[in-house]
Amino acid sequence: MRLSFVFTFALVCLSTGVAIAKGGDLVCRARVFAVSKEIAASLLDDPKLGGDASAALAKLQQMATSGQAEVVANPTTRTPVPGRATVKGLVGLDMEVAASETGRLKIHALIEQGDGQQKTYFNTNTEIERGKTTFLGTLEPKGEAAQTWLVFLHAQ
Amino acid sequence: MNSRLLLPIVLTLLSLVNAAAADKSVLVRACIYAVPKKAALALMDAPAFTSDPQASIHALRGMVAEKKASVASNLCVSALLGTRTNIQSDFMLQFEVTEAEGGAIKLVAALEKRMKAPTPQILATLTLKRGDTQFLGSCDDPSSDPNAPTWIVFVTLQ
Repeated sequence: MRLSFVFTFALVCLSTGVAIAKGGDLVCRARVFAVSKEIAASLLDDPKLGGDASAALAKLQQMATSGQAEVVANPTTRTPVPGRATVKGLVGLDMEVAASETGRLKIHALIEQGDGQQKTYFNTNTEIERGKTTFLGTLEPKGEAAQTWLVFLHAQ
Repeated sequence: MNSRLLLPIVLTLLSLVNAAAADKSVLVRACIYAVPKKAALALMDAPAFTSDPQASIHALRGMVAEKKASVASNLCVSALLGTRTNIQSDFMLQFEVTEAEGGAIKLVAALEKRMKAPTPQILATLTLKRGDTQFLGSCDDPSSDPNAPTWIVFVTLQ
């Protein structure tokens, strides 16, 4: 009796995780900050950047206030899960989202800036969690001398 | 077995499954330093240059602070194990990360400087653990200018 309760509970936990990942539209907001390459090299040393990147984001927001960093773009879009969404602008965001079996969200994203020979971009397959900020990667625009742009994604 | 123990065991297993899933994502970072060829030669002659990457990076950062070298590029991107990923700026890094023995991660990487041929390029295979930094390699500007840079590349997995 108790054993069956435990397994039922475990199944409910799993299905809830998947339901949370699947349920409702996903609002994906990228935040792009520009810093000097030297500062970026130091920021990227943060070992927590690969997990929950909210602390790094908060630090960058502080740096933006003090003038050490610059907010360069806020591309935001909305998509059902699974689905695909695109934003064009200073920084382009093209992403496909699907629920993963682990309750997270699997994304395939192309983040780009500029065009032709001036283009800087990255292509990533990764997993994110609703409500958490994830660091996706860096861009290094040609026209922006000695700058690295840091791209964060928050999906809600 | 006491059934009261089962609930914590199941919950622990669930969290382990989630943790394993979280571990499928890895942040790959290539930090590229531009160092004049002569200074690069002296730096890389140090016996521990490849075996102690943190000390080498510390030395490079010192050179950057003294304007004797510069950070040429910070290529950083999140990737899922088993997939191919690329990132492009002045440099192009293409790589694939796969699981290796003992919880390590195998990285097969091709890095090239985007310029007219002959294109400087490094092809390398490394085995790292999360948090590790390793020397990927170095390549040189093909010009005959003695002040042209050598690009020194370190890779970190997070």
